Amino acid sequence: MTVSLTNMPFITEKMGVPRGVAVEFPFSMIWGRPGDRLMERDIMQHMLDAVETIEKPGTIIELPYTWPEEDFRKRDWFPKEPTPWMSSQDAINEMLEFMQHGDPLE
Amino acid sequence: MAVDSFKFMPRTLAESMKVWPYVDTSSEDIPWTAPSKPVKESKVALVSSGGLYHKDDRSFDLDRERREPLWGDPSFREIPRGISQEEIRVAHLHYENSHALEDCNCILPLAALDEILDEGRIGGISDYHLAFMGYQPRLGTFIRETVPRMAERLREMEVDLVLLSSG
Repeated sequence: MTVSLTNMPFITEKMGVPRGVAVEFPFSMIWGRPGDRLMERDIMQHMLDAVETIEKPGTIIELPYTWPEEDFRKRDWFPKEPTPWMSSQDAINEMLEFMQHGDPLE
Repeated sequence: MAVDSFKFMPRTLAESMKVWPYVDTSSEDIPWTAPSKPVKESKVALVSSGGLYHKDDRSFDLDRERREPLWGDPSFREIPRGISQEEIRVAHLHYENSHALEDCNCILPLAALDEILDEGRIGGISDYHLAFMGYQPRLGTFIRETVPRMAERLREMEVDLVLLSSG
């Protein structure tokens, strides 16, 4: 039995997970900023509660937490090294071709 | 959805994610397993796509991804329940790794899990958690080989409830 924590419910909905919990937090800190133990516990409790409250497969519960504006301005979730598929025009073109005609199950 | 899935992405990446060739599961029923026991009696494991691994284990293969940008390492790693922060390593090129290297709990909440066990809210914690590297444009090997192995490993450890999260 699973509960999924997602920051991209747009995708999670398409995948069709049994039980989901969504937060508007960035990648690299989906459970909250480093050291924010209270936030980790709150999110975890919501996930445990979801086991007992979600009755319909595919349900995603959205949590009301927001990323503080002063933290948003830091934009410190981006990797310092460019991701490989964005590192050259050839790589970008290969990705665009995949997005248009690729088989994700390959 | 009130949660904005694209709030933290550059616009070009967000637009690409909107047209990504996702695996079409629309014709399939969503899997469903009813709870076999109350949460407070359940053994819990964490599964993360954050690219975490133990310092004595192999890293995820980022060099090959750098050479082949449409390839992502499809393997997984086991994270011992009692791993210390100093033993944590991270290999993932699609988010900033330094936060997890400062405090892994921001992507793998080991401390919170220990606390809720101490408070009797769950029944146990598995001996190992699992981690993989979530950049998987071509999902074939991951879905056909890695996921079944991870599921089998969780069954071996008699896990009742898995909390999945991204990096």
